[in-house]
Amino acid sequence: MDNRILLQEYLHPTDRALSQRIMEFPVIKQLLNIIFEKKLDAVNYYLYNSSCIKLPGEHPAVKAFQDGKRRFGINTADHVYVVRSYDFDVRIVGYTEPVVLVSSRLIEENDSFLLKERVATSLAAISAGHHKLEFLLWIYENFSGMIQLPVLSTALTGLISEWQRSRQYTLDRAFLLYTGNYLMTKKNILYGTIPYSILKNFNFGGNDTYFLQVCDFYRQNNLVDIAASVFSVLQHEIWIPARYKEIQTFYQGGGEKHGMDMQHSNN
Amino acid sequence: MLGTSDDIIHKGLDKINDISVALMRRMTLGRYIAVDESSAPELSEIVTSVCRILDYPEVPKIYICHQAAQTIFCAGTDTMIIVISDYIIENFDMDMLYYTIGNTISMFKSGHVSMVTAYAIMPEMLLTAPVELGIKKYLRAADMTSDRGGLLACQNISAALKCILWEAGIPLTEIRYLDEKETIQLARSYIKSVENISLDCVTGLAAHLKEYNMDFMPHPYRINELLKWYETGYQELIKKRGG
Repeated sequence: MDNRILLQEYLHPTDRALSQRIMEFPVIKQLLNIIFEKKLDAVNYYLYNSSCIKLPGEHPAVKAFQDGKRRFGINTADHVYVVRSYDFDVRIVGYTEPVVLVSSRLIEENDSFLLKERVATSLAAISAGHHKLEFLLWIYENFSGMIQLPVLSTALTGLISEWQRSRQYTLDRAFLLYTGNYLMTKKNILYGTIPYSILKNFNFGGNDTYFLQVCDFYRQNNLVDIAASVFSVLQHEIWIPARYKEIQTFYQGGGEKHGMDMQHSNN
Repeated sequence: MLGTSDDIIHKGLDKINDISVALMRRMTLGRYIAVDESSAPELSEIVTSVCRILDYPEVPKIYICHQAAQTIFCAGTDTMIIVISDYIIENFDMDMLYYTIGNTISMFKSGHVSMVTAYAIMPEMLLTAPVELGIKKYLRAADMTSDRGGLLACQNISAALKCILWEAGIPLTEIRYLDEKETIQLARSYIKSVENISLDCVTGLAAHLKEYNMDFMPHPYRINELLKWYETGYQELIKKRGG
């Protein structure tokens, strides 16, 4: 049975619109020319290939990776590497030959169910082209002192910040479609911020433990609150309550259509 | 007329302050995750116990963040909150958690948090420089008070010193299993290694200027002060309170 997940099923409209807009900027095209001229993509590939450990084929993370490739229809990305990192658990790096990095922390923690799901759904980022923009940002972070790069305008920087928020919504949707489990998807949103030993005590059903915090976040009792929420848009953060709300809207908009597990929604 | 414009300025500053506080609250709710007795019973019990030990009436709301850099911080002006990093929840032992939380509750109790919050949202400009320097001096002294509060909360000098040594950069794997004698010895050798650095006049002056401009007490001084107090005032207090 073909249970492939198509990009248009999970790509968030803001993610799509922003990434298209960003890629149309002349400065981005200039940057891409520099990248290919100086073979910086190959540098990136070499860096990870030569310094990180490739996970063996029998490892659960690699099996999850293969399943993710099949479900999200990915032809590139051949290997999974492990790195020591506290900042992320799964990351896709590179432009033409993306590399999947899994942190040792994710593997060490005994969250075998989340390990599989998180690695598999990371492939959705490749399908959505997230790795390309991320790679451009990586170039700025690491090469702006060494080679002359075109300057990013304030407007473009703002768009990129906004895109970094909306790309997370795309990945949350992909996670929901891959697992078919709304409660696990909500758990996944909080995972990585709080220890698993505490997360397992959270209720994600009818009396959702995190729901009150989401309401609090969106409460706007007066002009001061409204002004604060306007200023918060200027931050680069990916607000956790926003992710929670987005996935709830997506789920309520089409849960049954995608064959998702509606049974667990009223715990 | 002067009174009216003064009012306008004060009202304006008040509004800016209110918006800053509301923004900080929104960022807290957006980035960190609140826990309570049902989701984090052990952690909540530690915070409640520490508040009881230090006689702080209101148990602050607990949030958790994902980072290994900053262990724990507090914020708020009207409602106090504690934000604890997931790293220390997973890696600190019970006594070290008691110390760390005790250190933070002491900051609430002494009114340091309001000062820190005000300092955090203070605009950086020449006019506020003297006030800023004064606050920094206060904050450095406040660190000593908080360390004492942390020690009273955990009543374990080894745990207290391990927390400060870890903050200074020593990996937990190197100090986790040291006993009290070994920890104190390590702490004293750390202080001595700093004291033995000899600086020429200009470098010494520069070092003092840098220290004066810091908004936290350097770790060797904190350890030194805490050890001094442990051997004197702390022992008397414990005897007085019956252990």
